[in-house]
Amino acid sequence: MNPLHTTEGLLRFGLRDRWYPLCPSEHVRTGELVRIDRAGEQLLLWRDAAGTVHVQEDRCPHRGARLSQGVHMGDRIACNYHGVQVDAEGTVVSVPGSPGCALEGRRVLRTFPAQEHAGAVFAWFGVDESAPPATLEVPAPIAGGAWSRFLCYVEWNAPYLYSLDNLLDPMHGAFLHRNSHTMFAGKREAVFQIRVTDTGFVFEKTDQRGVNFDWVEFTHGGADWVTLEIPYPDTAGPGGPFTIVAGLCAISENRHAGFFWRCREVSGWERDSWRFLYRNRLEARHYAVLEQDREMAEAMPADAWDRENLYQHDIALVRMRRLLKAEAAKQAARLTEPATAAPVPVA
Amino acid sequence: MPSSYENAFGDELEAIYGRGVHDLPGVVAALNASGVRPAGGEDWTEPSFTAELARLSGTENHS
Repeated sequence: MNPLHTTEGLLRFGLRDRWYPLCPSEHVRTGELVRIDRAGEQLLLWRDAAGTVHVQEDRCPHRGARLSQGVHMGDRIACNYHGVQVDAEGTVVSVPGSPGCALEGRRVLRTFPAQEHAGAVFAWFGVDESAPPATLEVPAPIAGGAWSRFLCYVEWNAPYLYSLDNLLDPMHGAFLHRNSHTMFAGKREAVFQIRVTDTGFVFEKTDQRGVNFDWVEFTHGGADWVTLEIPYPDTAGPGGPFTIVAGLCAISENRHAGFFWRCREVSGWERDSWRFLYRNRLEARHYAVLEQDREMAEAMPADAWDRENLYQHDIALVRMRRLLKAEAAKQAARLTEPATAAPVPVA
Repeated sequence: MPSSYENAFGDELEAIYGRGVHDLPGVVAALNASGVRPAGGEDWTEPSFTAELARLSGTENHS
């Protein structure tokens, strides 16, 4: 059975009816065919002559050969095996070895709605792939305006769910990152509360704010986002706190892509100052902190979730998991409904 | 690789900011009290300081 039709598979590879960030925009260069695995799908990414990015299944509709091994023809891809040409909509536009065959003109290559935003390529994976995607809504710090940002892209050898757990666990800042440039201060004891919002929830310390990693927001809709804020020391100069917008996407069961947009609400010369200091030294410090998270996540045992003893600090990740599991079960039920599509006739 | 000038400029900025000086006239005055000067060796002014930061900040990609 296709794992993406099961509750467990959807959880491990990522729920459907979501936009996922796939890779930094710069990874898809003009004229190239880029092969990546994301969210349980084997994907081909390419740009047409106008620079528009396309995300399709990396599978020739003829016999299943990798289209990524084919030829980029500007507005279409030619499979290298038998020359079958498929366009950006997934329609077979030419079968050179058998002109006029029934495959020509048919829209048979799975094609996923794609967009670029904030330096990343996003694709929509729907439960019903013929239905239009939801609008890609992004958290304010990466929507533009008064915010400045840098995208930090990583790939970790850990399930994406461990990374999501980590982001929804502000308390680890006071321990794992206790010697970092941003999280050395604050209490080691905390009581948390969950505050429900229109789009998700905020998980926050009840007795401390603006000192350490004191709150995190989970936004759940057409895409899943985690936003968090960490106060900067005076040395970072004027401007708002350091803000991270995170988006995750599974590469496989045990590997995922992490997008950490490092943001600051800051303008004018203060913005230029932060951008200079960020490039010159702060990025390296932030990256060292992220490496602590990576080392922890990658070393977690495969059965970590099966043998936990959670306490009050963990209520956000419990809530998040419950939400994802319930939705995965609903989607799995829809995806295992008997297919109604007629079989494809062979020419 | 950042130049030694960029690193020294960053060191001074962090030190000044670390003392809680976050206003433009204060930062320029504190920079002039330091050993770091622009390439021409002249004193910093608010326009030369902000122009230098704009040069060093890099381009933004807000697609």
